[in-house]
Amino acid sequence: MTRQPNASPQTIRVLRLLLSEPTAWHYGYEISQQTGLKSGTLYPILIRLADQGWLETRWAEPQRQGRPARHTYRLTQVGARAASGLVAQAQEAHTVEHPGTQGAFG
Amino acid sequence: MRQRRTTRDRITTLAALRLLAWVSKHIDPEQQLWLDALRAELDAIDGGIARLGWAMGGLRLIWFERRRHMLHATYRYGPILLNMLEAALFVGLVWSLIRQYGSIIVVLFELTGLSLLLVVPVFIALARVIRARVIRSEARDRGASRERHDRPRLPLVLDAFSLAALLVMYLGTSAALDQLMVEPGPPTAGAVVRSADHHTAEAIVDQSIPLSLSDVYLTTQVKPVAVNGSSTAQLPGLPQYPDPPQALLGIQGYDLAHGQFPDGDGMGFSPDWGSDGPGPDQILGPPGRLLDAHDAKTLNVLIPWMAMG
Repeated sequence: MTRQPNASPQTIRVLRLLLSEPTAWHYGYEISQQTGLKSGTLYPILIRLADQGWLETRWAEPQRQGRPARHTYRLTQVGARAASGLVAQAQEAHTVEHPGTQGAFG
Repeated sequence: MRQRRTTRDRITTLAALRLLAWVSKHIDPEQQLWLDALRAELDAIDGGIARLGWAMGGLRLIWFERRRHMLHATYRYGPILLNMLEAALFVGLVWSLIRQYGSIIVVLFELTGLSLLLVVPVFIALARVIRARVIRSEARDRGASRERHDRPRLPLVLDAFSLAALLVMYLGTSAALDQLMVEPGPPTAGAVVRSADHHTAEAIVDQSIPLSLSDVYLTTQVKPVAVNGSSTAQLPGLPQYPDPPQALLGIQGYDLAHGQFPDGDGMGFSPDWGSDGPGPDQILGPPGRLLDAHDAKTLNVLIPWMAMG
């Protein structure tokens, strides 16, 4: 059986965060902080999403002079549509498995 | 205290930077951008230890990319290797059968082996067709994505399955054919020509195999050494003869199990027989084949008595 792409809990966490503000650009460290994922887990996910065309990236100008430019991310339209479906599915599965709780999806 | 923390932060930050520099040397150039992105975040992180922890994620990028390449290579070369193994096994199988069974292989191919051997190329061809279709379909559905789960796994499974089938055939066919070959043929009488025991032999053969009267007469100018696969030693009232395996070596006989039978049409008598009927050396028949000790085990051969003498 083929595993559904981008359906791992870690990826769902990233997608949920990006979906919460779909038009905003997010920093890698910020995503890591909010999802609780370490950089070694987060970046492969970001690479995959970008490869699939779900993620848009850009270098943001530094807020203070002398600081390096930072890479930022947001979902593309295609990515946002697909991510919405995946997150909804994951939430549904969670509700079925743990009725009466909202857990991470609350 | 504050100074100590600052020193520790410096050291760990330096370690983080060194680590990322090392990763940068070992990472795939395509992933360099992502490593730069990861490095750029260091400034936003408070504390040297946290920075070092963040930088250690860069190591994962090396592993991630290598794993990806490895999977590509497996996907690309795996089926080729499997197919080469299949081809080698197929050739080896046929070659070993030919070497082991010689001309009998023709009969076996015609009767049983052919269908089995035909299955393999058909199966391999089927695997090719399915693989091509799956690849096309996947490419259509998912574009040029290089994700592991986007790559079809079915063809590899099919290849492995056909390889396993060939292996089973390779290991099992010889044994199966051996078993087929030792099975006795239709009930026949292996006999030694001897007119003195004509009546006994005639009675035994008459009951054993359907022959015309003339055939029975001609055939039973013999002394049976075996009837229907049983040695005459086990039949009451018949004298025993030398051990067949030793006696058979290098002599000519008739392979009854495989249809070589000195029937009436092929048989005759030399004109100088005596009053008791034709002697063994006076029976003329179609040429038989050279026997060996193996024929004695089957007990399906007709052996001229003179040869036994």
